[in-house]
Amino acid sequence: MNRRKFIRNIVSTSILSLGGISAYQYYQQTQLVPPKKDDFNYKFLTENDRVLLEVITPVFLSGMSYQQSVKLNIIFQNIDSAIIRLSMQTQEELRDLFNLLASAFGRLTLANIWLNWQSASSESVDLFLTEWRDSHLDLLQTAYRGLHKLIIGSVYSEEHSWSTIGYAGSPKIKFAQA
Amino acid sequence: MFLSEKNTKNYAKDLPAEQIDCDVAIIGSGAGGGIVAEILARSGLSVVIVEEGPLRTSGDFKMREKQAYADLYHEMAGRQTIDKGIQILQGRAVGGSTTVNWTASFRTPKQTLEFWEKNFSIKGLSKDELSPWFSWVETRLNISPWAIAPNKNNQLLAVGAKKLGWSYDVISRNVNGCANLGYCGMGCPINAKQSMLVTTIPSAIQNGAHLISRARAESLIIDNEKVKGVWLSSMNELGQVKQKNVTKIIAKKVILSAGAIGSPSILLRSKAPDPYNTLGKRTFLHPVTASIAKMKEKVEAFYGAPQSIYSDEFLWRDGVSGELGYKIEVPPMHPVLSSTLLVNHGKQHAELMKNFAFYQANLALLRDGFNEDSVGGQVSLDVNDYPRLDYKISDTLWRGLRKAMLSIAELQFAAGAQQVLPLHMDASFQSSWLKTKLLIDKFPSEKLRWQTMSAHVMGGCGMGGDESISVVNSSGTHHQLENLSVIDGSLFPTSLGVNPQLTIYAIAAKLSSQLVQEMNGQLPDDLLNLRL
Repeated sequence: MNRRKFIRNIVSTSILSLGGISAYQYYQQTQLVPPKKDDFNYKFLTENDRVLLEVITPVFLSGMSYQQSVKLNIIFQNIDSAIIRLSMQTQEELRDLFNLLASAFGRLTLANIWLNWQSASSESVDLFLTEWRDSHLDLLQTAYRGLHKLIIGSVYSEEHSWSTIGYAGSPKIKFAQA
Repeated sequence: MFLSEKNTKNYAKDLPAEQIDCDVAIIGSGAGGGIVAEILARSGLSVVIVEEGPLRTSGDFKMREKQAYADLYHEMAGRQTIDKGIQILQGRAVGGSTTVNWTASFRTPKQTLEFWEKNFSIKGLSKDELSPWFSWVETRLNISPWAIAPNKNNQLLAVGAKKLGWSYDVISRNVNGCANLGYCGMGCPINAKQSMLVTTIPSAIQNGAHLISRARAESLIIDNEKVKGVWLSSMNELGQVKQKNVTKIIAKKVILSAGAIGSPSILLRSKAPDPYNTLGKRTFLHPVTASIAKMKEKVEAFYGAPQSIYSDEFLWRDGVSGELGYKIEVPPMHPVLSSTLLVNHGKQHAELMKNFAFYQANLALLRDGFNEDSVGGQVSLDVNDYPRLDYKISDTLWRGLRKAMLSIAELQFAAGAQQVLPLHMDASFQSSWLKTKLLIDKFPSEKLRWQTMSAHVMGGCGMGGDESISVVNSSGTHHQLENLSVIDGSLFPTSLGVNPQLTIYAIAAKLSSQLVQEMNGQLPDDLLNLRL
């Protein structure tokens, strides 16, 4: 079974098993506050995706010092720019992942977070990330690896993040005038 | 010599030609295509070089991962096998991977060439027959052993190997006026690296060749088992197809040099005959396992020539076709690539990154394809006609990965490591060799847990004398289709056991010189003498 079908199966199974709860979750979804305003022309990430990333990203970076902090919108812009350079197939997989996470069913069945993302505690987010990392399901492990690569890569590609890791950046080259 | 704008077109911006007529269309501008282009153009043939990636030059190379991965690599330097078990670093720009590789240059091992001759009936590529071609390329690209002291990352490999009594030596590099910066992987900012971008491609253009960047070869034009040309699609600045089949190239000969994922994919899209079901099979990766050591003193593995010391202690240890042998080298470490290999989040990840400057990294690349249980991967097309690679890790390869991991970790402790972290999702830093050994022995052989990588994609259009186990013959000519050759790393019927660029260069020089003579071109004297 391929990954897309697998995701779809999980979603449809969840819908069947949830019954009335899904309606409540759906209601919760509508209570979401829109993500922080950002003039960047996002080509992949939707507002829903950014709401999700606003919750997950700080947990990914919770150990970093204040000096290292890279603004969330810069991280999201880097993520967006990275994704649109991936193959269309990979982009579709990531779209499925984000949609699934953003849906009530995804939160409930995969991330075990009952309320909507914005009211999830950082402890519960940390817990679900760790569970995904070490899950026996390939799908969840690859989802963790995907989010990890996008978020961590987007942070350490910025100079700010280098201040406390002992990396002073590339040597400065002086070019002789031709 | 540097590239001028003359004779170059960028299909992301420029208006594509409807039709182009030429003697030879070369698909790809990397280690294979670059050499072929220079030799054919110098021989008076009219040549068009087609490159999927962008044309970038030294002024564009900022020694920043953010820019380099987006611009110069396939899929943001994060190409993966279908099951996401192996991450593949592969260049995608004019110059191909030679624009971003770490410059390690090795002649093909004798054992590999003998294995090819014996098992795949390959003719004309013995050690002696290739030797003059190696010499020619080594002169052309200024390849010689690195004469400057290795950086600390490499030096520690030498220290550990010496302590354990393992063989080690200095790596040859294709550089001229190298400033020992350490950013080869992001494109050389001072044109010291003698990649195709600054050597053969400009020389081909000076000799009349045309270069089209941001253009993908969509499919071959085939008429009655004869190749007549190739259709090109334009690509946008993001590397996505802009418009399909915008240009028709009519050529006497088409040469596929699109690499071991690209070349088979063009043949698949063209529905080329494949009577024995060999196309896209036996794709090899030199699967890499790695470990990180925390040293007492700063290593700063981000500065200095990335690869200058290697150890072949275990490359042929169990014979050519026994347990998989491995070559030990070091990778350079820069923030993005390193931070994404430390697969943790929150406090744990930040703690790991704190000691970044103190880390030394070893890698072992495994020689796949020499053993019956090591058949490599398979290239196929996804629903968008884009290539994908299925590569399953066999039991033999798992044993090899574990043995290799043990060796590189042992070497790090011998070199004075305080702690070692084998790159596996179930690992943490260990403070003694004994503890590390026990940990590695217990690692589950699971594709997503064991962090496996590759920077060398080979095979998929294997050459050989027997049609039933190969795609092209020993000259690179397609078995079924006329006017079509493959000249790049996809020719290899197994992996090599060494970093592939020099092998590709030498074989490309030899095969393209043969082609010139078949096409009645005027081979220049320096090459003509080698043919005699």
